[in-house]
Amino acid sequence: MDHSERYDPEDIEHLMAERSFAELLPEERAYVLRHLSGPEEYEAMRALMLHLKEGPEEGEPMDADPMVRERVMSAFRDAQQPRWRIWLNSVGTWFIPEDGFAVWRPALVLGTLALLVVSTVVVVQRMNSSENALAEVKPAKQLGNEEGRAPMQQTDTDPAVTAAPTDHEEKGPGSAVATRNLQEDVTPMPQQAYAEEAKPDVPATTAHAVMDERMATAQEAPEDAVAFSDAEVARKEQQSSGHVVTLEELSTNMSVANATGKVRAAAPPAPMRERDAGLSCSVAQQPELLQLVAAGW
Amino acid sequence: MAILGRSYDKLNDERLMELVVNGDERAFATLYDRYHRRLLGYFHRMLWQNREMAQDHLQDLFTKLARNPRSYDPSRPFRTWLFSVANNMCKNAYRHAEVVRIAEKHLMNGQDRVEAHGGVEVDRAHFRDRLDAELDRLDPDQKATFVMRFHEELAIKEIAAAFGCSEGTVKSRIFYTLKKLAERLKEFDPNALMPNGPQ
Repeated sequence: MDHSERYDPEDIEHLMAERSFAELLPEERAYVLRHLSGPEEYEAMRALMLHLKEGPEEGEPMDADPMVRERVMSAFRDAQQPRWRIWLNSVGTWFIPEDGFAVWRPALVLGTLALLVVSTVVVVQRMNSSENALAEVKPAKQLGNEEGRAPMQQTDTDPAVTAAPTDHEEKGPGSAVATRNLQEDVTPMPQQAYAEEAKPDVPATTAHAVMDERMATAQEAPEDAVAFSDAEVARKEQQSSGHVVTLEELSTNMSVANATGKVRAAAPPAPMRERDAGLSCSVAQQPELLQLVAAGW
Repeated sequence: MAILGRSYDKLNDERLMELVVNGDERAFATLYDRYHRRLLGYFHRMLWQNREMAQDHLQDLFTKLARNPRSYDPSRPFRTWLFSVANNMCKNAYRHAEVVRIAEKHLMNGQDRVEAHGGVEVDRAHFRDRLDAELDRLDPDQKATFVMRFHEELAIKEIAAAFGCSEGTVKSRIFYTLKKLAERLKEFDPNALMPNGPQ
């Protein structure tokens, strides 16, 4: 093969497509015969090529199955969906599965577990709230039915409180009132104390004057059966499991006693009650007391 | 820009691919309608005239195009790129098949047909079957080059771009493929197939 000659089979193919061997120029024949064995081979190749180019396409599938087009277009639409929508479709399928039976069991378990947790929390909260009850208001009649109750519970940190019931049982009703008053004095009432400190300008003088007047009036009144019954009430209060706060105590701003340092006299509060009955037990009707209460609380 | 059916048919392949990249479904449908027959014929010839396999490959090719249209290089002609992808898919199919055994099967079928016809009067369909059988015996690159050139009517330049080789390589392949096929199909006397006979 002459390396200087440019081997270009396309030229031979082009010649074959246009002309037969007999129609070739001498130079072209020489060129063809350099790469082919003879005119027979040239003619065979030429015939095959012409047949391929001009022959009808027989037995060839012209159209694909229509399902192929549908699948392809579906793939295109799926590819155009944003990723978040594809993810969202999977979330929806998870929440609303086609096979719901496969999901109801774990759902039931989770629901039961959640119910147990909630009920436990509610029960514990209720128990804690009952333990934290500080006081309750009971009418005087109920106090009479509480005989035989266990002695009042005592706090270990307050010896005065601890000693009170024992002293009361031995000494008598008068000392019971005093003991009770002592307990009232020593019983911590943080909210009222803090309020007292926070608002020094509480108009307690007016309330003090009112309470002092009452106390003085009560002291003048002779002890009578009502007072004695009141002492019995106090004694029974001590015998009860806890300190029972009466309506009078609620209406009384204990900070008054703390501020003045005065211990309420053993004078029975019954006359005070009788006197106060006319004045109405409602704190809302006594603005001075209201102010004291507001300041204390 | 007016989006009408006619305008889509008049757009060239490269412009349609730009629209496909932007998510235009009609552009993608137009490309499919434009090329699915040719590609199906190509796969059919390349994959031993197996229609089912040819349809599967056709679906796979357009599915890949739908899912990743940006894989197309706009600097290349779309038809060239498309046949390049198809050729690569056929190569993968060859790696997983026993080419010789399948080709021999087709060759045996062709010889039976020759004997039945006596080699005197050979219809074009019979010759086509024999031609396909002989093509199956060729090297995959030679076969693909031959099919692209004489069945898909691609230019030498396009075939070279599809294969990623030089034009001289493509020309050489075509020449030697023609030469080999002419020798193997000699018993059919191809000159007798010409309407005017040999001259």
